[in-house]
Amino acid sequence: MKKNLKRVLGLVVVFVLLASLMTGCGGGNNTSQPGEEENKEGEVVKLKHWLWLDNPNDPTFAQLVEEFNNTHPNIQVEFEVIGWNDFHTKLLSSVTGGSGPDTSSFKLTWQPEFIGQDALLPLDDFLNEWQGKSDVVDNLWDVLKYEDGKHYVMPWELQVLYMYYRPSMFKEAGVEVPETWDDFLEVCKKLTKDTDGDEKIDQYGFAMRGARGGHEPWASFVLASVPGNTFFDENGNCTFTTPEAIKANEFFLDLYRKHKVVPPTAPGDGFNEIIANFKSGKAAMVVHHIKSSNDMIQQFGDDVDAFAVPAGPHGRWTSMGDTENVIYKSTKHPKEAFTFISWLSEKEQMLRWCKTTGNVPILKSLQDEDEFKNNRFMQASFESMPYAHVYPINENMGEWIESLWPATTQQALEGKIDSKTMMEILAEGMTK
Amino acid sequence: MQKHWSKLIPYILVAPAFILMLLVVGYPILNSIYMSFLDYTLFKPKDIKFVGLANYLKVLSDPIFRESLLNTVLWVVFGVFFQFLFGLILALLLNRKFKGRGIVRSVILIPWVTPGVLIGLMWRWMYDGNYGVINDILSKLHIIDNFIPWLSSSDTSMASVIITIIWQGIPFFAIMLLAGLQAIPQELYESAYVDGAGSWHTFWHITLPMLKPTILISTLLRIIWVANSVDVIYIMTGGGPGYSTHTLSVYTYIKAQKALDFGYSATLAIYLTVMLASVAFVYFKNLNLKEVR
Amino acid sequence: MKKNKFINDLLFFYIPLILLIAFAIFPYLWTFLTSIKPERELYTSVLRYLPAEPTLENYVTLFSKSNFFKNMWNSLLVAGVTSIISLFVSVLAAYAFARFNFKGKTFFLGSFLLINMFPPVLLLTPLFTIMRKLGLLYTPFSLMIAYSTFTIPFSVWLLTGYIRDLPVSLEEAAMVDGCSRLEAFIRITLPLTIPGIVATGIYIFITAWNEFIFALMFTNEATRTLPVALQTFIGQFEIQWGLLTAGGVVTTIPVVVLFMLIQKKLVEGLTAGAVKG
Repeated sequence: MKKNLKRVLGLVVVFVLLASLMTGCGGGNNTSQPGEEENKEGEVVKLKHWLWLDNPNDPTFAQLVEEFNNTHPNIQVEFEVIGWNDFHTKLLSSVTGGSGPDTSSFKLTWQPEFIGQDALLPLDDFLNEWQGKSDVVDNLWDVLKYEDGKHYVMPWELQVLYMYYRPSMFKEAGVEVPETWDDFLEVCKKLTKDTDGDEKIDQYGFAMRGARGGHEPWASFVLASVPGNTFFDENGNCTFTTPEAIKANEFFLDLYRKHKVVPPTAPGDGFNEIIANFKSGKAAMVVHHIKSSNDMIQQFGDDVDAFAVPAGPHGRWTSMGDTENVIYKSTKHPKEAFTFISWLSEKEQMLRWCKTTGNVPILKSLQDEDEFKNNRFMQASFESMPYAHVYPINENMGEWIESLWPATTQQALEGKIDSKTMMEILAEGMTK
Repeated sequence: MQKHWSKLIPYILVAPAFILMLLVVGYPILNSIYMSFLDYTLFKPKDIKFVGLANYLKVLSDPIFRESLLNTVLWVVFGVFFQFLFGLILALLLNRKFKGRGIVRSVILIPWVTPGVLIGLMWRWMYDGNYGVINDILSKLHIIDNFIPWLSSSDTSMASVIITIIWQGIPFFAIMLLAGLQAIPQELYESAYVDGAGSWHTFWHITLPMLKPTILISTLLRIIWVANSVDVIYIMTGGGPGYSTHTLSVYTYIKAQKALDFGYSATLAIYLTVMLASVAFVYFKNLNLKEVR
Repeated sequence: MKKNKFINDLLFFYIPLILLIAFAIFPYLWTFLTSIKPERELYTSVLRYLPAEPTLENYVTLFSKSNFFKNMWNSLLVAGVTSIISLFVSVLAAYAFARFNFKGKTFFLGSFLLINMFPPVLLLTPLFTIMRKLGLLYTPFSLMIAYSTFTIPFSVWLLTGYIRDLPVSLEEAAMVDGCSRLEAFIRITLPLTIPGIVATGIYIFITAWNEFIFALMFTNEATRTLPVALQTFIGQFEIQWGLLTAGGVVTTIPVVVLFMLIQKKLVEGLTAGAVKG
């Protein structure tokens, strides 16, 4: 019984100790908020950089930062890797709460909420001085311009969506690479079959993505039928509700509803599932970009190739994936911050980064490197570049992408709403 | 003097807990209540308007809210009921002495200890309609003919995510109820045995009444927890297909973190809280927790 | 008669027990099998249960290349201290609720519950600001304080129930024998409540161990806990299935082992107490 008394007393002591520790620590930290010291001449500037990595064990970024710190003795960059899924949540809450980094990786679509809070530093003055500016691939500066005409982002990574396919399956089915969406349907029909004789379909033409993120390949179906391939016409009306777009959407939905040339799981399939369907041989085609290519080669060797997304009556449209670097207004050292993020996008660093991560180089001078020239997936990316675009960027899009597109598309795939209704909901969600 | 002092004792005992709560979550909750009266999105922090009850009225005419409400009821009722049922069975089984009981008691904690992210991803993978292990086992047992796209069809998606949350919650009930069972004095059973009562009879007339306070409290706490849980559904289905697995907490999460509409999400949160509070109120009124002992 | 008992045991004990354990364990087993499969065996047209070439590579990478030990230590520290703070404060409050009648009792009990009904997502940003102002951001203390606060309401309620279950007469008898109220509580009530305290402690520990969204916000690379570290294996275009599942397998082990030890001690302690008492 005495033992119990002792235990309880022990708890009390621990608790009191902790309480004193906490107050002590709180007092100590208050006096030295990071980054508050003034930048005096000759002093070392510390920068905090946040980013996400597809492969957290890849040491390339750490090596680059080390090299930067060694070659720039007056700047010391510390970086922190944060998981992709919650990067936006952490970044936004930290910046809103006043404790964000100096610089970070960034997505174009996040601009409204950060610029709305006046948190991003416009980079135009710096960019005009930057020697690498003219080497950046054509049209990219246009794509990266925000609606107020300013540039807030430094281009870094780029991917273009194209179609992966399995040559062996094409050969067996006796089909060629499709040029148009109509050809695509015919090819899909021939590729959808029972391969092991148990009278169950076990190979499908195309791995359709009906869950989050599926809006990107979907737009390739729809916008190829819209004159000018744009989301909005010259009067500012959303093109989704035009008869052409509704018909093209119907075509997309029918791959699942009528022709059944996509796996029956399509409405719930996200990124993981479509890639797994392709890798396991359940699907003969899938839309994705260069970042999957290393994996695909590992799985299939030569038995995987790429072609540009098929064309509709008004040409082709494909989606561009992007990652940029930005500087926050809260930084005490904007000049040094720009030195760092522009250094990352300069030729040598870009070459190393693209080689290990498989990104498409953003610099024209790099596209002629043998490494990229002889890569069939890089070639498909370069080929698709002229008609690669991004979704409109405005404050409605966060919810539109994360929730409205998947929910509405899934309802239409399940036959609960028709193509017209679906397009009306999507158009309204984009413009409200 | 002595009497005066002893009147203060309960307040002193409650004070540390209450003060900590007040300091840490008091302000954030008041802040959220305030936001529910505002038109407040992160895109226009300089353009925040006081809109009175506009958000509250908007919620009532929001079809997604209605669908989410219905889903929340299904999610909570079926989720918690089966967690409780299986948890109780497990607790009764584990209350018996047998070899390796200590190990089994620890091992059954696993579902509860697994981080939500991993639960969502692993179950999503096991449910997969093309090469998922659940389909594979069921078809090998000849229970199903063709693979079922569990999470891709709104007919099966809700049931599928509910099974996952049941799996996750069984250990909670097992541990809580087991602790309750251990507190029941053995003498009660012994005297019942002497009186010649069967095991069903002792369960119904001794075990269950003695467990009642623990059962009531743990189910209520679980209802609150399940109603508020987001990660499992969000990772497994994202609230889809369509809105078939949208619950109020998933909807609140999407409005707060993806749409960044803080005013509207705070309003949704308050609706949910008020509903849970009324459930708790009815619960106490009808079941009369105070009279249990 | 004996045969009857065996069939009875089989039907009403072993079969349901084995089924429930199988249900509880299977996903974990599947996670483990995934963690020892080489990458190319993950996607095969015909599902393979056992790996053709099992490998421990993922575990080696996990411990050699990432900060997994450090993350585990952070998690243990946060969950352990949280359990102590939360239990201590909750036992006091629960004792008051179970044994005293006082003005505002219903108000206090009700407000504890009400606070926990509020979706935590919305508390994130204001709490972040508070932690920053207190200078606790990116220290383990921010998580300990937050988790203690989140777990106190449930703990108070649970413990109130367990204490209320115990007859008051024992305490009263001790007080007649000359014990003070506090002594009576510590000597008589507390030991009898230990199964309930342990159950509540497990609840607090696991809640702190698994919590993700606040851990994401309040930690940096040095103070990061396990769930946040696991999340870094999920990239934008790639999931490191091997590392994720290996990490998941490893994450659950310390808690299960810890509970096994506590339980052993607990059983010993209870029998010892019974003999002495």
